[in-house]
Amino acid sequence: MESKFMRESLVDREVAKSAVSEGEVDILPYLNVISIGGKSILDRGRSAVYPLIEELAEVKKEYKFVMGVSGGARMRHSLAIGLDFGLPTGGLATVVGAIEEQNALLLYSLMAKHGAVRVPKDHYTDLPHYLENGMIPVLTTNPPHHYWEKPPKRGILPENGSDFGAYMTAEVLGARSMIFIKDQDGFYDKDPEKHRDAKHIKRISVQELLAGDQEDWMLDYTMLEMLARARHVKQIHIINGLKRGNIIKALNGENAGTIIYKEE
Amino acid sequence: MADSPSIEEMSDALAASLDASQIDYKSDLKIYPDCKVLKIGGQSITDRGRSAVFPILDEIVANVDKHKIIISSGGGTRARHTYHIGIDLGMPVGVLADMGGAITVQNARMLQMLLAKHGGIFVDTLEFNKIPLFLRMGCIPIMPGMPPYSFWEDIPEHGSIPMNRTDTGVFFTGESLGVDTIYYIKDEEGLFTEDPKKNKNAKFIPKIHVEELIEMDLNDLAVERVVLDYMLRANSVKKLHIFNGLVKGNITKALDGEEVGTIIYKD
Repeated sequence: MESKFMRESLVDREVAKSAVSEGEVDILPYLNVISIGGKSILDRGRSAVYPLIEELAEVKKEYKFVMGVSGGARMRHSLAIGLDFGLPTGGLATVVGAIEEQNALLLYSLMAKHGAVRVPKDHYTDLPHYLENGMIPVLTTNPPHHYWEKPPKRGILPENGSDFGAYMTAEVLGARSMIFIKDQDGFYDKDPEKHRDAKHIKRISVQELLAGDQEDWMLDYTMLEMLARARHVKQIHIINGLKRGNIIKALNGENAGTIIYKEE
Repeated sequence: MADSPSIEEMSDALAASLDASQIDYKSDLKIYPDCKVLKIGGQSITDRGRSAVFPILDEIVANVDKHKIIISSGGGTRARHTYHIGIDLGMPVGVLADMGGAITVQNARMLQMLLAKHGGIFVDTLEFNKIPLFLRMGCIPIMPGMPPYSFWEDIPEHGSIPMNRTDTGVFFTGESLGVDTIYYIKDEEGLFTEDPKKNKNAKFIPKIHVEELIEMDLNDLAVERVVLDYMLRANSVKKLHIFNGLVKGNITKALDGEEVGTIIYKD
């Protein structure tokens, strides 16, 4: 068996740099990935969630998408208790996923009649089967790092959360769009709930964003780092899920909130 | 009767609990620190077959009465071939990481078969929490070395080879358990300034601080580059011990705390 790297050290810089694809494959180029905020949307209950689901059922007629929902309030409380116990980073990351599983089950239960189906990570190769048959796979977007979660670069909380997981799903599958549904009109230069003079940012490159010193990144910082290295999904949408009509706009490619893009 | 809090008030209160608890956080819980976590190199050891692997496993078994040992497998030649084919076909990094993981599962399964009569037991990454049981029963847990990142593997700055491979996997197995040393069994004495298989003038580095090693910015390393960064930020692991397992007695010495190869340390 002869192979390019056979006798090479994969750590060698030259070897690593030479291992470049001539254009990576888009595995599911028609796919859209929609991530719903846990704290921002789901934790608001019926008043926020029911209308959103009606809208998603409507856009399903035109677009194929998978959905995820992040953990929200109970995830933060799990972290709070875990921190008090002194759990290592990997332990914290292992505990939080269960809340997202709960939220995904809620979402599934509400959307089953519109074709929702729960798809666990080791069944992602089944996604085309569901999508081609008009169904809406509901994923657990939290990444599978568990005890292998990397120690954070900033602060003490596990950094690879749902936003990272949802984005990486889109990126590795070569999806056509990545949409984050939140409870504000997109990205602001500071938290609009705390600062009256917060400015809405319509469009910004991820490189510019990362170069600044944001008080609140709104999305997982690690997700933004990956967007800066994107090979497939080179922009993400953030839209307000409390206002109607934004999802279809974002799916049509319009900027219905904020677009963060990779500058090339 | 007082109004019960609204859903939003409850959510806010629950979420706010996190702000307070971050202030006093000490990551001081060591889940299972009293064990030895070692990686058997893929290309360096497993791929050499019987002549290299049998004596190493004999020596590990001879130490089981003294130490609780967990083994993590490497990838090796087939993992390299996987990356080569995968990159040629245009696979994204996450797919390559998933495929690379399968090779380390094979290696872990083979090691398990060889060690079964001595208590070798295959432990999938999802069964991490059963490790205490297996160790208490005198078993030798054998885990696939690849971390479970799969499609969620970080995109490298250059190229498509996954940056987090088996050195990373075994590192976090140990870090999460709360051990202070990770043992890497290789076919070279330890860390050199260059690849000793290619350059005869490569200088051996017996002991080095992790920051100094990062500073040296070597073009090649005996351990995955990312592991050094993780080590800087890690709470438990303070030492990487890389040594030659082909030299009889080294495993025993290393497990007893003797420095027989290269030590990369911090603090």
